Amino acid sequence: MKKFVTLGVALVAFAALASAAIAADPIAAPFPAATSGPVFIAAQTVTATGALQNQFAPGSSVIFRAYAVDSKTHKLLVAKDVKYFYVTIPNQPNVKLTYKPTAPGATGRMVWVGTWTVPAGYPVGLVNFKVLVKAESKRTGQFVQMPVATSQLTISATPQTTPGNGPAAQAAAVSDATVSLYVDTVNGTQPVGAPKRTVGCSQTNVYKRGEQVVIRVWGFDLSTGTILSTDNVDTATYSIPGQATAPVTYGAHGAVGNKVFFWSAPWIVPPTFPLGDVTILIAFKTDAGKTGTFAYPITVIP
Amino acid sequence: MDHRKGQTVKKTSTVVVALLALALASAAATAVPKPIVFVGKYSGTATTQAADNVVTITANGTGLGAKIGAGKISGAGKGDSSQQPCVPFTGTGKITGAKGTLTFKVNPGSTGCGDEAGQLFSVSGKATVLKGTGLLIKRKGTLKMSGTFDRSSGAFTVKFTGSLAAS
Repeated sequence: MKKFVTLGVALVAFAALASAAIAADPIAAPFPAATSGPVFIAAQTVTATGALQNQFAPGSSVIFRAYAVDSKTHKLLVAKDVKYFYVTIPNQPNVKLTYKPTAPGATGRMVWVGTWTVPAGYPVGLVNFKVLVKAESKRTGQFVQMPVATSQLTISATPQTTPGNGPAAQAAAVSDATVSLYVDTVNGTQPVGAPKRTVGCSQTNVYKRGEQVVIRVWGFDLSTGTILSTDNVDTATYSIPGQATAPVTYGAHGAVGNKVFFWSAPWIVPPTFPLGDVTILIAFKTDAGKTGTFAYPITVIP
Repeated sequence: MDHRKGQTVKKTSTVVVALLALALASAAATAVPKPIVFVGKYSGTATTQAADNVVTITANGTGLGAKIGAGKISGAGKGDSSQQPCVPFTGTGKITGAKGTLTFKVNPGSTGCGDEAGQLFSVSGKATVLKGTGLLIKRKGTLKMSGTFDRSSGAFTVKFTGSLAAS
């Protein structure tokens, strides 16, 4: 009995020390959370041409596109798997997402699509939308955008639109979704040989030569339910045809007081880079040997 | 009465016991201690001093390490701030616990990746264990490092994970 008491005291002391060490950590918030929910969701806002864009004028149409993965089975949700999948927008009716790979704006895995026509009188400013899903398995998921204001859905009388049509729709790559990724791109604030856009770090997938592409990524290892971070990722890279494979790095972004950690990588479109669509391949390998890839198309224009 | 059968059994048993003893002794002589999985988590304060593009780093903290228990960490190194946003750094350090120590060097390729303001860094890299003492005596290996560093407050966290083999 005495031995058990001693052991118990020792364990409590150990736990107290461990929690003290953890409590002393500065807050470093991984986006969207340290652990995955029951259903993973990635969503984007685009135009009918598939151009990634986050600023829209009142009266215009915002196309939401998304994909979802069951965190338990690691399967992509298709029409038969879903009880509901919609976008909730403040003071607006919900926008239902439909599984339609051929719909305007749909591409790759992102084939759950819904359109919101912004009312003429909708207030300008950030739109804090959420994407919600409930699977037939009763498991649920939620998506919100990264808290970087310039890249979040915004209604503006003078929106910064993407300067061209988006890349052609791609077929969904067959890949294991155990490591599930969210990927988007924003215009970097340090172009080389091209003028800066008025609003830096806004979402786009159409670039001129000399502009800076900034790839942004977050994701989960669904086998463990943990966020991908430097704690569990062995390598994270992006590859572009004709370019050297380069690392995607983990770091803090956003406004002071609301910084979050995610993965990113900058790339300047070379002055002689071929025009048209090109696919950026993002690849993650965890310490446990799990891999996840995402084929992300962009369009290069003159 | 014939005792020869009993003698044969006795001789066979003796041989079997001897063989078993030999096998055990041989196994003991060749047994390699299993690798130890080391996980340590530390936090504290680091100072950085920049001169041209060379950043001198000094770090001290406390935390908890597997096998060696609660203790301290100290380290010193240099970074190259000409490379942004990920500053490569190297250096040496020591983890001290009640039941042992680990002396390590930070391997080339380790970086601190800063935010847009160059204030909050994500630290990642690898450290080679040069020497272990106490419960980690003669243990060597490579540990993965991951953590954060807030330049404005100096606060850092670092987590070490990896396997330490007997050398």
